[in-house]
Amino acid sequence: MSSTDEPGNATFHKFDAAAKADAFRRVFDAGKPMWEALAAELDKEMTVPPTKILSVGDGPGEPGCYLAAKFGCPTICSDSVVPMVEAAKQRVAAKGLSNVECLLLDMQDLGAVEAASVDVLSSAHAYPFSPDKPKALAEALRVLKPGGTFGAVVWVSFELLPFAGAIMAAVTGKQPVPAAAGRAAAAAAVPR
Amino acid sequence: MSDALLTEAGFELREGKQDTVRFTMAPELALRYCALPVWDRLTEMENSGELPDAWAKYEAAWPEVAKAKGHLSDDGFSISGVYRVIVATKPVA
Repeated sequence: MSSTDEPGNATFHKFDAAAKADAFRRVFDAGKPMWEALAAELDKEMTVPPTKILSVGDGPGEPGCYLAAKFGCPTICSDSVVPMVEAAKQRVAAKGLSNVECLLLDMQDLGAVEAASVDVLSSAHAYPFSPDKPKALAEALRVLKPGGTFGAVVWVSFELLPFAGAIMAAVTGKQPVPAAAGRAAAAAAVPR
Repeated sequence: MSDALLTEAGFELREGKQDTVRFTMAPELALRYCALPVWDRLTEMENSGELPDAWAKYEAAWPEVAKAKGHLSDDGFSISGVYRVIVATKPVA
């Protein structure tokens, strides 16, 4: 590995786990307009300020950190893979948030979270990648209080996926897979 | 994710919203960002010997593909997506 960070440099080749985590972190930073929109929509729906938020499939800590800062209540940022939970812990520390706990949770089994215990359950781009959506949504319903609010950001379309297909075609010399299979491949590649 | 999945799970759907978001970034970050959906596959191909230079090929192909798709210019890299905010509530009774 090189310490050089310039594309085009022959020694530039940083595609390790740390580089992947860093790319995820910076992409989630860039997603702020979506977290703002999510918070605004939740705010419109809630009749009282939330006392507990659970964010699932939260990657390196968003939208959980944004919502924790916005609503100022105890918040759990959760993800199903350890590196993302560790990245979320770093994000929480960097933002100086004292009301956020980071947990390793599978969205299909939120067993560690008590039934009817959260006011808001949030997520960004995670539910479409769930291997068992009915089970994941049943778990979301279980942990929400009656009258609690579910808010999820999902892609309707995203230019990155056909782009990824095109570049894989260039790398392998094979044609891109159909869109649906491409999305499945993308889902498999995204740590959740 | 379909609305039917939410209603079948027992949620009551609310209005929500849909909007476009554009990501702009420097090429050195975009090079990695664009790899995220295929990152593990490229590493797997390289480590298994299926394509030992998978990442080098990726890095070499990226600028050409990014320019051809209109995402990379002298101003940097940009890519957009349409997102939806789904809002639903758990019934009180």
